[in-house]
Amino acid sequence: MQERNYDVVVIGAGAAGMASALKVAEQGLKTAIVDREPFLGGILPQCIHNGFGVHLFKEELTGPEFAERFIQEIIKSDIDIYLNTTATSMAVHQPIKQINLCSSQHGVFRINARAIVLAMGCRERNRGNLSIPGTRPAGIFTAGLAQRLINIDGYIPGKRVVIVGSGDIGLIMARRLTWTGAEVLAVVEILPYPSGITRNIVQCLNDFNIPLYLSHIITKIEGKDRVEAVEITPLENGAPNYAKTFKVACDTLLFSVGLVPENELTQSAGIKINPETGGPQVDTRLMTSAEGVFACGNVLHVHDLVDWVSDEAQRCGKELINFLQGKTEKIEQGKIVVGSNLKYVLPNKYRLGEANRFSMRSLIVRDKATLVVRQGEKTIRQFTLRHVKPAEMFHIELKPEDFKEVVINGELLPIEFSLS
Amino acid sequence: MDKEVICLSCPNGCHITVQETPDNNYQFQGAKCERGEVYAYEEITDPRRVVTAVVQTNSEEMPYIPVKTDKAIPKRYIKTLLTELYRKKINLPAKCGQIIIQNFMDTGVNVVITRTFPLDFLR
Repeated sequence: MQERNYDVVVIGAGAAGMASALKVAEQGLKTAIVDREPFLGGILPQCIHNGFGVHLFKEELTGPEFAERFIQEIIKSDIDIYLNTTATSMAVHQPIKQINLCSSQHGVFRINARAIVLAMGCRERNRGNLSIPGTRPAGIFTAGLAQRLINIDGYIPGKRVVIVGSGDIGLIMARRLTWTGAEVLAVVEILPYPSGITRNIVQCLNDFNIPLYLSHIITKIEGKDRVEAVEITPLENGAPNYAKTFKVACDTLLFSVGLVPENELTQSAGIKINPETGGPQVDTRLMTSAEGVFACGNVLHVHDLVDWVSDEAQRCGKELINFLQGKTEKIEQGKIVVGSNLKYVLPNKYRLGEANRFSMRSLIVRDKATLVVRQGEKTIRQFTLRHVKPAEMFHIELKPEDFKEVVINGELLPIEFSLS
Repeated sequence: MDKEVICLSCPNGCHITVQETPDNNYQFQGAKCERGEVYAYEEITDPRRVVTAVVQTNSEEMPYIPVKTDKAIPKRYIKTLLTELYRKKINLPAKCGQIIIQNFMDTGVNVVITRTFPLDFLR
């Protein structure tokens, strides 16, 4: 088998992979970036709508334009690009890691590298995750697949569409389908509030008078060869009220019901997974349980904004460089405890002597929420947050002077975050 | 009569109440910044949106290429614009930012390509 040697191999050439690869390559490290698609950019090229880059570039770009800012840098750099290439397995518990790959151009081959960045992104939840009864006809798609069919391949998936879930991709697709001449008949959301941001409700649904059914579920899919109709049932006090079920005739059903990090490769390599995020467990260096293997972007935890993916990936690149230079090989880290009303806090460790940035998600919807940070019994910081909801990730930064070095039983005293 | 507008200028999504005064002016309430008032005025008098779509190409490798309006276009023109875009066929190579429709129906809005193909163009 052909073998190639690199300092760093980045798996996935989306927003996270590109930003981290650029960061490490600019330090002169020999870098390879691998993607199974025939193009760079990951999911961005199919997200043709605008609204990307507001934080990072201070302007509103479309997905392909945002990607191109990075692609331009990548192709001018010394990074070796492997497209149409799938990473099938890896051996990571040794100083030189092995990644097994295959592509039509190179066949089956192996890359040996001193460090790996996992940047495989995430995947959509689908009908199987929701257990919806009914037949199994054609015409059922995830929203992202429909987006790819329309925007990359040029196929219109259907004429009369019902969308399940009010996440941003579903809302964006409601507008996109309407603009291709299809009719979007309903958006059905199980929760009592929309999962997408307000401006998407306005510009993707209200603009076209598309009804949004909150606290409703799909209780049946009908159709033999192709979807013919769905039954929609309201939830009352948490239970479906079948007396109020109604039927909508349609030929297409789209699911926009959440994303999960894509970690088959990670798990099969024996890297520990964080059950709250679905991504690998990482410390303050964004390093996984395998020494020298880092993770960033949606493979680590699902983000709402690509700007924060790029930001995290650049940080990941910097940490990787420091690690390979031996600067952070042995650093002392304390534990993070996830307190009340928070789904997760990432990373789940902290370190002394520098600023620590944390990403987290709320379990509750609330205006003017208070985030309390405690070390032991003592409250070390308190933040007031304008508005929190599960659909919006937020970030906070703790300053070096916020924590005290308190060691109990040989371990740094844990820090607890809680939201009220 | 009062009207409520949800501002689309940024992800904050302010709810702005617009009141028409007797002298045919407007009063705004609820905007967190000045952009909100500008948006609400426009939304009441001449609502606009940025339009994005894909246009057919002559390439098998990339059969469709994404485009956008370089500014928001009055809503009443969107249908006509989309019909024109769906009729078009673009010859590749093409570069991000390249104008394919100039000053659409005298609105001052151009339609530009948002993806470069092939990538050699970026070198």
